[in-house]
Amino acid sequence: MAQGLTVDQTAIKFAQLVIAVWVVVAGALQAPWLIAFLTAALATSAASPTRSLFRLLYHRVAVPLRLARPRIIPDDPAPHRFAQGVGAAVLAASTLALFVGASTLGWVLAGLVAVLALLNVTAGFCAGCFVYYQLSRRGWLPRRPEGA
Amino acid sequence: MSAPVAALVIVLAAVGVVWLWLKWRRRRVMRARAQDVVETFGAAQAGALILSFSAPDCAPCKMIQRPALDALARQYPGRVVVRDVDALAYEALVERFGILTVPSTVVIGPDGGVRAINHGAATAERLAAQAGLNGQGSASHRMPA
Repeated sequence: MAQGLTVDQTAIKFAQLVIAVWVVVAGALQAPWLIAFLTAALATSAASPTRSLFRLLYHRVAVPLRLARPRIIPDDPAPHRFAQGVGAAVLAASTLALFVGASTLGWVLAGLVAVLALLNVTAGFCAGCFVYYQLSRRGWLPRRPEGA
Repeated sequence: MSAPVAALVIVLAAVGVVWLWLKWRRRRVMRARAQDVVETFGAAQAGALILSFSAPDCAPCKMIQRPALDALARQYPGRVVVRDVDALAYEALVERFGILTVPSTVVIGPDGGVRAINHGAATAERLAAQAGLNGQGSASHRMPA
Protein backbone atom coordinates (compact mmCIF):
# COMPACT_ATOMS: atom_id res chain seq x y z
CA MET A 1 0.00 0.00 0.00
CA ALA A 2 1.28 3.46 -0.84
CA GLN A 3 2.29 5.53 2.17
CA GLY A 4 0.00 8.31 3.40
CA LEU A 5 -3.23 7.01 1.85
CA THR A 6 -6.29 7.15 4.05
CA VAL A 7 -9.91 6.07 3.82
CA ASP A 8 -12.91 7.25 5.81
CA GLN A 9 -14.54 3.96 6.83
CA THR A 10 -17.75 5.70 7.88
CA ALA A 11 -18.07 7.34 4.45
CA ILE A 12 -17.80 3.93 2.79
CA LYS A 13 -20.46 2.41 5.03
CA PHE A 14 -22.65 5.48 4.53
CA ALA A 15 -22.43 5.07 0.74
CA GLN A 16 -23.34 1.39 1.02
CA LEU A 17 -26.32 2.20 3.22
CA VAL A 18 -27.50 4.87 0.74
CA ILE A 19 -27.19 2.36 -2.12
CA ALA A 20 -29.24 -0.27 -0.28
CA VAL A 21 -31.98 2.20 0.72
CA TRP A 22 -32.01 3.68 -2.79
CA VAL A 23 -32.58 0.25 -4.38
CA VAL A 24 -35.39 -0.52 -1.92
CA VAL A 25 -37.08 2.82 -2.65
CA ALA A 26 -36.66 2.32 -6.43
CA GLY A 27 -38.22 -1.15 -6.13
CA ALA A 28 -41.09 0.10 -3.98
CA LEU A 29 -41.83 2.89 -6.46
CA GLN A 30 -41.15 0.59 -9.43
CA ALA A 31 -38.94 3.33 -10.84
CA PRO A 32 -36.20 1.96 -13.13
CA TRP A 33 -34.93 5.50 -13.73
CA LEU A 34 -33.86 5.60 -10.07
CA ILE A 35 -31.66 2.56 -10.72
CA ALA A 36 -30.26 4.26 -13.84
CA PHE A 37 -29.49 7.35 -11.75
CA LEU A 38 -27.85 5.20 -9.04
CA THR A 39 -25.75 3.48 -11.72
CA ALA A 40 -24.50 6.84 -12.96
CA ALA A 41 -23.81 8.03 -9.40
CA LEU A 42 -21.87 4.88 -8.54
CA ALA A 43 -19.90 4.92 -11.80
CA THR A 44 -19.00 8.58 -11.22
CA SER A 45 -17.96 7.78 -7.67
CA ALA A 46 -15.69 4.98 -8.89
CA ALA A 47 -14.17 7.04 -11.70
CA SER A 48 -13.80 10.32 -9.83
CA PRO A 49 -14.32 10.08 -6.04
CA THR A 50 -14.16 13.88 -5.62
CA ARG A 51 -17.36 14.18 -7.70
CA SER A 52 -19.15 11.42 -5.82
CA LEU A 53 -22.78 12.07 -4.91
CA PHE A 54 -22.37 9.86 -1.84
CA ARG A 55 -19.38 11.89 -0.74
CA LEU A 56 -21.38 15.08 -1.21
CA LEU A 57 -24.31 13.72 0.84
CA TYR A 58 -21.91 12.48 3.51
CA HIS A 59 -19.96 15.73 3.88
CA ARG A 60 -22.85 18.15 3.35
CA VAL A 61 -25.64 16.32 5.17
CA ALA A 62 -24.65 13.32 7.29
CA VAL A 63 -21.59 14.80 9.02
CA PRO A 64 -22.99 18.34 9.69
CA LEU A 65 -26.19 16.79 11.08
CA ARG A 66 -24.05 14.43 13.19
CA LEU A 67 -25.71 11.40 11.64
CA ALA A 68 -22.23 10.03 10.98
CA ARG A 69 -18.84 10.50 12.57
CA PRO A 70 -15.78 10.26 10.30
CA ARG A 71 -13.41 7.38 11.04
CA ILE A 72 -10.31 7.93 8.95
CA ILE A 73 -7.77 5.12 8.90
CA PRO A 74 -4.67 4.39 6.81
CA ASP A 75 -5.92 2.32 3.89
CA ASP A 76 -5.68 2.08 0.13
CA PRO A 77 -8.77 3.59 -1.55
CA ALA A 78 -8.16 1.62 -4.78
CA PRO A 79 -9.94 -1.61 -3.71
CA HIS A 80 -12.95 0.42 -2.55
CA ARG A 81 -13.12 2.21 -5.91
CA PHE A 82 -12.82 -1.13 -7.67
CA ALA A 83 -15.73 -2.47 -5.59
CA GLN A 84 -17.81 0.56 -6.55
CA GLY A 85 -16.91 -0.05 -10.18
CA VAL A 86 -18.10 -3.66 -9.92
CA GLY A 87 -21.32 -2.45 -8.26
CA ALA A 88 -21.82 0.09 -11.05
CA ALA A 89 -21.30 -2.64 -13.68
CA VAL A 90 -23.92 -4.89 -12.06
CA LEU A 91 -26.32 -1.96 -11.75
CA ALA A 92 -25.70 -1.07 -15.41
CA ALA A 93 -26.74 -4.62 -16.34
CA SER A 94 -29.74 -4.18 -14.05
CA THR A 95 -30.68 -0.91 -15.76
CA LEU A 96 -30.33 -2.48 -19.20
CA ALA A 97 -32.54 -5.41 -18.18
CA LEU A 98 -35.15 -3.05 -16.72
CA PHE A 99 -35.32 -0.94 -19.88
CA VAL A 100 -35.49 -3.88 -22.32
CA GLY A 101 -38.37 -5.48 -20.45
CA ALA A 102 -36.54 -8.15 -18.39
CA SER A 103 -37.86 -6.52 -15.23
CA THR A 104 -37.48 -9.45 -12.83
CA LEU A 105 -33.84 -9.98 -13.83
CA GLY A 106 -33.23 -6.23 -13.52
CA TRP A 107 -34.64 -6.04 -10.00
CA VAL A 108 -32.83 -9.23 -8.95
CA LEU A 109 -29.48 -7.71 -10.01
CA ALA A 110 -30.28 -4.45 -8.21
CA GLY A 111 -31.38 -6.43 -5.13
CA LEU A 112 -28.13 -8.36 -5.18
CA VAL A 113 -26.13 -5.13 -5.05
CA ALA A 114 -28.29 -3.92 -2.14
CA VAL A 115 -27.89 -7.18 -0.19
CA LEU A 116 -24.11 -7.23 -0.64
CA ALA A 117 -23.89 -3.58 0.42
CA LEU A 118 -25.98 -4.30 3.52
CA LEU A 119 -23.89 -7.38 4.34
CA ASN A 120 -20.78 -5.23 4.40
CA VAL A 121 -22.43 -2.60 6.61
CA THR A 122 -23.97 -5.01 9.09
CA ALA A 123 -21.72 -8.08 9.11
CA GLY A 124 -18.39 -6.80 7.81
CA PHE A 125 -18.56 -9.25 4.90
CA CYS A 126 -16.71 -7.77 1.94
CA ALA A 127 -17.99 -9.24 -1.33
CA GLY A 128 -14.98 -7.88 -3.21
CA CYS A 129 -12.65 -9.62 -0.73
CA PHE A 130 -14.58 -12.88 -1.19
CA VAL A 131 -14.21 -12.70 -4.99
CA TYR A 132 -10.55 -11.70 -4.71
CA TYR A 133 -9.78 -14.56 -2.33
CA GLN A 134 -11.62 -17.22 -4.32
CA LEU A 135 -9.93 -16.12 -7.58
CA SER A 136 -6.50 -16.00 -5.88
CA ARG A 137 -7.05 -19.41 -4.32
CA ARG A 138 -7.69 -20.93 -7.73
CA GLY A 139 -4.59 -19.23 -9.12
CA TRP A 140 -6.59 -16.97 -11.44
CA LEU A 141 -5.01 -13.83 -10.01
CA PRO A 142 -1.24 -13.22 -9.92
CA ARG A 143 0.22 -13.31 -6.41
CA ARG A 144 2.25 -10.34 -5.28
CA PRO A 145 5.77 -11.37 -4.19
CA GLU A 146 6.25 -11.48 -0.39
CA GLY A 147 7.31 -8.11 0.99
CA ALA A 148 6.17 -6.20 -2.10
CA MET B 1 -46.92 -10.59 -8.96
CA SER B 2 -45.02 -7.42 -9.90
CA ALA B 3 -41.39 -7.67 -11.03
CA PRO B 4 -39.87 -5.99 -7.92
CA VAL B 5 -41.84 -8.32 -5.63
CA ALA B 6 -40.80 -11.37 -7.67
CA ALA B 7 -37.20 -10.15 -7.54
CA LEU B 8 -37.45 -9.65 -3.77
CA VAL B 9 -38.72 -13.21 -3.37
CA ILE B 10 -35.87 -14.56 -5.54
CA VAL B 11 -33.19 -12.54 -3.71
CA LEU B 12 -34.57 -13.51 -0.28
CA ALA B 13 -34.74 -17.17 -1.35
CA ALA B 14 -31.13 -17.02 -2.58
CA VAL B 15 -30.01 -15.37 0.67
CA GLY B 16 -31.90 -18.03 2.64
CA VAL B 17 -30.27 -20.88 0.71
CA VAL B 18 -26.79 -19.39 1.18
CA TRP B 19 -27.50 -18.81 4.89
CA LEU B 20 -28.62 -22.42 5.40
CA TRP B 21 -25.60 -23.71 3.50
CA LEU B 22 -23.25 -21.60 5.62
CA LYS B 23 -24.99 -22.79 8.80
CA TRP B 24 -24.64 -26.43 7.72
CA ARG B 25 -20.94 -25.94 6.94
CA ARG B 26 -20.36 -24.14 10.24
CA ARG B 27 -22.13 -26.87 12.24
CA ARG B 28 -20.09 -29.56 10.51
CA VAL B 29 -16.80 -27.77 11.30
CA MET B 30 -17.79 -26.93 14.87
CA ARG B 31 -18.64 -30.55 15.66
CA ALA B 32 -15.04 -31.55 14.99
CA ARG B 33 -12.34 -31.09 17.65
CA ALA B 34 -9.19 -29.14 16.92
CA GLN B 35 -7.04 -30.22 19.89
CA ASP B 36 -4.09 -30.89 17.55
CA VAL B 37 -4.27 -27.29 16.27
CA VAL B 38 -4.31 -25.95 19.86
CA GLU B 39 -1.24 -28.03 20.72
CA THR B 40 0.57 -27.18 17.48
CA PHE B 41 0.19 -23.47 18.19
CA GLY B 42 1.07 -23.84 21.88
CA ALA B 43 -2.23 -22.42 23.06
CA ALA B 44 -3.22 -25.12 25.56
CA GLN B 45 -2.46 -22.88 28.55
CA ALA B 46 -4.34 -19.88 27.18
CA GLY B 47 -8.08 -19.30 27.40
CA ALA B 48 -8.51 -19.47 23.65
CA LEU B 49 -6.73 -19.72 20.33
CA ILE B 50 -7.76 -17.41 17.50
CA LEU B 51 -6.68 -18.29 13.97
CA SER B 52 -6.70 -15.17 11.81
CA PHE B 53 -6.91 -16.04 8.12
CA SER B 54 -5.59 -13.34 5.79
CA ALA B 55 -3.79 -12.87 2.48
CA PRO B 56 -0.90 -10.62 1.44
CA ASP B 57 -3.03 -8.26 -0.68
CA CYS B 58 -6.02 -8.14 1.68
CA ALA B 59 -6.50 -4.52 2.79
CA PRO B 60 -9.32 -5.13 5.33
CA CYS B 61 -7.13 -7.80 6.96
CA LYS B 62 -4.48 -5.21 7.72
CA MET B 63 -6.67 -2.20 8.33
CA ILE B 64 -9.70 -3.64 10.14
CA GLN B 65 -8.99 -7.15 11.43
CA ARG B 66 -5.38 -6.55 12.54
CA PRO B 67 -6.19 -3.58 14.84
CA ALA B 68 -9.08 -5.58 16.37
CA LEU B 69 -6.78 -8.52 17.11
CA ASP B 70 -4.11 -6.19 18.50
CA ALA B 71 -6.70 -4.59 20.79
CA LEU B 72 -7.85 -8.03 21.95
CA ALA B 73 -4.26 -9.10 22.66
CA ARG B 74 -3.65 -5.90 24.64
CA GLN B 75 -6.85 -6.29 26.61
CA TYR B 76 -6.43 -9.95 27.55
CA PRO B 77 -2.71 -10.67 27.80
CA GLY B 78 -1.98 -14.34 28.51
CA ARG B 79 -5.59 -15.38 28.04
CA VAL B 80 -5.65 -15.59 24.24
CA VAL B 81 -3.18 -16.68 21.59
CA VAL B 82 -3.61 -15.12 18.14
CA ARG B 83 -2.07 -16.95 15.20
CA ASP B 84 -1.90 -15.45 11.71
CA VAL B 85 -2.53 -17.87 8.86
CA ASP B 86 -1.92 -17.09 5.17
CA ALA B 87 -5.13 -18.44 3.64
CA LEU B 88 -3.44 -18.82 0.27
CA ALA B 89 -0.60 -20.92 1.67
CA TYR B 90 -2.28 -23.20 4.24
CA GLU B 91 -4.90 -24.96 2.13
CA ALA B 92 -5.36 -27.78 4.67
CA LEU B 93 -6.42 -25.37 7.44
CA VAL B 94 -8.65 -23.47 4.99
CA GLU B 95 -10.41 -26.71 4.03
CA ARG B 96 -10.65 -27.92 7.60
CA PHE B 97 -12.36 -24.79 8.89
CA GLY B 98 -14.36 -24.05 5.72
CA ILE B 99 -12.84 -20.63 5.19
CA LEU B 100 -14.63 -18.73 2.40
CA THR B 101 -13.07 -15.28 2.46
CA VAL B 102 -10.43 -13.08 4.03
CA PRO B 103 -10.36 -11.79 6.66
CA SER B 104 -11.82 -14.73 8.59
CA THR B 105 -11.26 -15.76 12.19
CA VAL B 106 -11.70 -19.10 13.97
CA VAL B 107 -12.03 -19.16 17.75
CA ILE B 108 -10.92 -22.41 19.42
CA GLY B 109 -11.21 -23.20 23.12
CA PRO B 110 -8.39 -24.79 25.17
CA ASP B 111 -10.26 -28.12 24.96
CA GLY B 112 -10.03 -28.01 21.16
CA GLY B 113 -13.69 -27.16 20.65
CA VAL B 114 -14.34 -24.75 17.79
CA ARG B 115 -16.36 -21.96 19.39
CA ALA B 116 -16.92 -19.64 16.43
CA ILE B 117 -16.08 -18.99 12.80
CA ASN B 118 -16.34 -15.44 11.47
CA HIS B 119 -16.44 -14.93 7.71
CA GLY B 120 -15.47 -11.27 7.34
CA ALA B 121 -13.95 -8.83 9.81
CA ALA B 122 -14.87 -9.38 13.47
CA THR B 123 -14.59 -6.75 16.21
CA ALA B 124 -12.46 -7.23 19.32
CA GLU B 125 -15.61 -7.27 21.47
CA ARG B 126 -17.20 -9.99 19.37
CA LEU B 127 -14.06 -12.13 19.45
CA ALA B 128 -13.74 -11.65 23.22
CA ALA B 129 -17.32 -12.78 23.72
CA GLN B 130 -16.84 -15.81 21.45
CA ALA B 131 -13.64 -16.73 23.29
CA GLY B 132 -15.40 -16.36 26.64
CA LEU B 133 -12.95 -13.66 27.73
CA ASN B 134 -15.42 -10.94 28.69
CA GLY B 135 -15.01 -9.84 32.25
CA GLN B 136 -11.97 -12.02 32.82
CA GLY B 137 -9.57 -9.11 33.10
CA SER B 138 -6.49 -8.31 31.26
CA ALA B 139 -3.51 -10.08 29.80
CA SER B 140 -2.48 -11.78 26.25
CA HIS B 141 0.31 -12.57 23.86
CA ARG B 142 0.58 -13.02 20.12
CA MET B 143 2.39 -15.82 18.36
CA PRO B 144 4.67 -14.76 15.53
CA ALA B 145 3.28 -15.45 12.05
